[in-house]
This record gives sequence, structure tokens and C-alpha cells, in this order.
Amino acid sequence: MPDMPAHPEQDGRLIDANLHLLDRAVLDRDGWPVLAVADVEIEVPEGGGRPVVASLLLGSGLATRFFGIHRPRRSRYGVAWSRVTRLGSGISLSASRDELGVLWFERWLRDRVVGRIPGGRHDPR
Amino acid sequence: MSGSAGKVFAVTLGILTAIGGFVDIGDLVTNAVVGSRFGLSLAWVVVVGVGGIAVFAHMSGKVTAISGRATFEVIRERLGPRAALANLVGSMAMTLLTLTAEIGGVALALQLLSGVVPVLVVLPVALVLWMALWRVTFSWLENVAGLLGLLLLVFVVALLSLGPDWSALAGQVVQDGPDTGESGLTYAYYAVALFGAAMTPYEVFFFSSGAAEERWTSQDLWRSRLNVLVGFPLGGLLSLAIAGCAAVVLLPQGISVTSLSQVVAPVGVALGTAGVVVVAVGVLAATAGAALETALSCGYSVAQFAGWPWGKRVRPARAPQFHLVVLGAIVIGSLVLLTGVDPVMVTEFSVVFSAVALPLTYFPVLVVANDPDYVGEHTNGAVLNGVALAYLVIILAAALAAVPLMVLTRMGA
Repeated sequence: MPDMPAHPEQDGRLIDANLHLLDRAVLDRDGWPVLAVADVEIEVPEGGGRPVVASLLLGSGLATRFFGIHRPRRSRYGVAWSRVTRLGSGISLSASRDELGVLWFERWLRDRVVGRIPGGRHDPR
Repeated sequence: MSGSAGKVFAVTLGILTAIGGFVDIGDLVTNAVVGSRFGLSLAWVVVVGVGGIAVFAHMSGKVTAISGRATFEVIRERLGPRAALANLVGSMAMTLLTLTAEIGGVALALQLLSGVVPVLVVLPVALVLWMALWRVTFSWLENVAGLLGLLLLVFVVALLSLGPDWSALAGQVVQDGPDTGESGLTYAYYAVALFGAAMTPYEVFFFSSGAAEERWTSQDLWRSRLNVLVGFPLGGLLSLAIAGCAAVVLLPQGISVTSLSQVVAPVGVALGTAGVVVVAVGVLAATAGAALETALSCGYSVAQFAGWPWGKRVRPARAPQFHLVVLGAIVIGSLVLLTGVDPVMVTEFSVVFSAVALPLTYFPVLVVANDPDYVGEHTNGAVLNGVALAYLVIILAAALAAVPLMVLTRMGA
């Protein structure tokens, strides 16, 4: 992201949450996709002060947008802002995809279906 | 990968997207139909279509090479989830329709070779395609489909050996509008169909996703240019040869193409049974290659939108949703064909709806190719933007005209 204006208070850069965070692809430390940013959680520190981005809420957007399913807050995949290492054309995290443990559906599909079909656990030849 | 191996790889990728992607069942059928009814008077549409797909693929390859983001990741980022989802649904429906047509094309090619009716081979074909995507690395599929697809060059050989009256053919190329009792509306309808056949959106999803999977960087832009500048014109030349064969053999006899056997009949007239066998194997390779590409494109599009892991190079257990979508797409396409619907009919629908769906992906890619956030210093220059905007106008016009023309002409009847 070239030519971003400097952050007014700190030696950083100013980003637009709507433009540079929402719906960006999220990548784990190996560059592997981890959903997209569905929402940004902002906290106002107790005792006042500037609001800060506490975490990124991740989602595919398919269930919620396509089927109108409302996901309860506790089941959303939140990633603490401290795990974000880089903002670029994608948002990079310091964790690996497996550590984040996202998506029960993906785990189920991998363990119960795809992994059980012959060849599902082998690299293609 | 060493430098020379990389070059060989890039050239093959270009040939695959040109033959297995550019010339697929849509091009084969539409060019033959048009050749048999309008001669070469619609050849200009193929030239315009080749230019359009080259511009589209170049911009998309550039965005991927520099930002590392594939087409549907970019579309979601730029359009937001709602508009991007509408876009995804439209593009997916289109790609599924194309996949159905390609599987049908494989079945028709097998019918030419063996005489077995298509409906009987649909399930075995679908199973083989799925197993190939499940177990075989892409470079293998690419080399086999790419090299066998080159057999379609037999259309060029056939055209040359038919010894046509070249000045008459050239006369058809420069004449504007139809003759031989065809109406202007029908001419316009087939112009849109031919444009849709040349500029099929999945080619671009496939091209850019492949580039992302190969982890292209700005160093690889030359590959993108090579694929686009060598691969696509080669595909366009083949398309013209298919139309030319139909124009020389079928048009004078008043036969208009309604089946794959008529598409390849001119090759039989020129080169005999051996020619038919060669062309049937070429059709088999081109449609099978395109079926693999469209099935993968379904998986790429949905997984990129959702942020699921995707890719052909990793074991399926690492990208389970992606493989589920690919399998689902193949199943849906096969079920449609099992109803006994004519694959040539499906193809005619698919090329027209490809023209309808094109702006959905072309426009966001054009916007992002001008966004330094994604492509840094490699934003479109003035010339490329001029050409790309002209194509935006053409693409929008074709998309808006497609369905009205389809209704008014009753699918060109």
C-alpha cells in the first residue's frame, strides 16, 4: 500500500477500515487462506482514550449472506489484532491455519469425508 | 525450477489455455454453425473476441502476479460481500453451464470414435474427470490435454487441402452483414454467440488462479504476455479454420450444423476417415481439458470468495471445501446431461450466457488493474486503458443484447 498518509499521532500509516480491512483475504503465516474479514471489533479502553481495533472477525460470508443465517457472536472466529503481522493485498497473521482451528465444517469434511476417500490424504502425482 | 524448464512450462500453459480453453466445445460448435450459415462474414467477431480475451487475461494475470490475489478474492474485496455474492452466483451458474457443455462434448467426441450414445458414457466420463482432478498433478493433465488438443490443427490442414476459392472466402470476410436469406437479427445473434464463445469468463478464472498457485511475481509478467500474445491468437486462428471448413463444405450445400458430427464432417471430406479420427481425438482432448478447467474454476471461484484453502497442487484433505465444490459441479453437470438433453443445445445456451455474465468479472478486474494498492507501478497505461474501455463498451453491449436477440430470433432458428 504505497503513499498512505502518515498516522497523525504515531509513526504509522492511516488505513481505511472499510477499504483495507473489510472483505480482505486473510492469510496464515504460510500464506494459506484463512477466510475473509467479515467484521472488525473495536473496543473503547476503560477509563477513556482512543478506540482501538481489538480483533478481526473472520467468515466466509456464504452462510450468513446466502442463506440468511445469523451466527451467534460466540461462534464467530475472532483473531486478536496482535496476531496481524502485515496489511497488504491480503492480511497476514502470525499463526498457522491449523492453530486457529477455524470452521468445524471444514474439520468434519476433512476428517469424515475427503480424508476417507482413497487418495484424499496423498499429494497428487 | 530452472530457467529453461520454466520457459517450457509457461509456453505449455499458454498452449493449454489456448487450445483446451480457447477452443472448447463452445468454439467448435459456434464457429461451425456460423461458418455453415454465414460463411466467414462473422470472422471479424473472432478477431475482436481474441483481442478481448487477451486484454482481460493480461489484466487479470497482472493483478494476480503482483498482488498475489486471485480474481474472486479481488472481486470480493472491491465489491463487498453482497454485490460480490451476486457476481459469484452469476459467474458460477455460467461456469456450471459451460462445464455441462464440455462434459457433453467429451461424450459426443467418444460417440464419434465408438458409436456409443452420449447418455451412456456421461457417468464414466464424469468419474474419470473427477479422478484426474483428485489424484493427478496439474502439469500432467496440462501436458496431455495441451499436446493432444493440438490435433485440432487438422482443421487448418483440412481447409488448406480442400483448396478453397480464397478470393471468395476473402470476399465473405470483408462483406458486412449476412446474405443467403439470413436476417440481420440472426446475424447479430450469432455475432454475440461467437463473441461469448471466444471470451468465456472461466478462462480468466482459470488463468489467474493457475498464476496464483504457481506464485507468480512481477518477474513472471513476461509469461503472462507470452501466453496471451501467442496462445490466444493461436486459438483464434483455429476457430477461423473451423468456420472456414464449414463455409467451404457445408454452406454451398445448405447444411446448417446441428451436431458434432457435422462440425467435423468437412475434415472427413478433405482427409477421409483418418482425418475424422484425428479430429475426434483432438475434440476429446480439448473438451476434456476444458471440462477440467471449468470444474476447477467452480472450485476456485467459491473458495476464493469464501477464503477457503484451494489449489490443485496440494492433497485434497488440505482443501476439503474446494474439492467438495469441484465434485459437486461435476455431479450437477452430469445429472443435467443424464436427462438426455442435447449437448449441442447446452453449448449454444452456454456461449450466449457467457456473453451475459462477462461484465460481472471484467469490470472489477479493469478497476483493480488501475489500483496501485494492488498492482503498484504496473497500473494500466493509457493505451491499454483505451483498449480496455473500448472492450468494456463492447462487452456491455453484447451482454445487454444477448437475451433479447435470443428471444427475438428463437435461438437463431
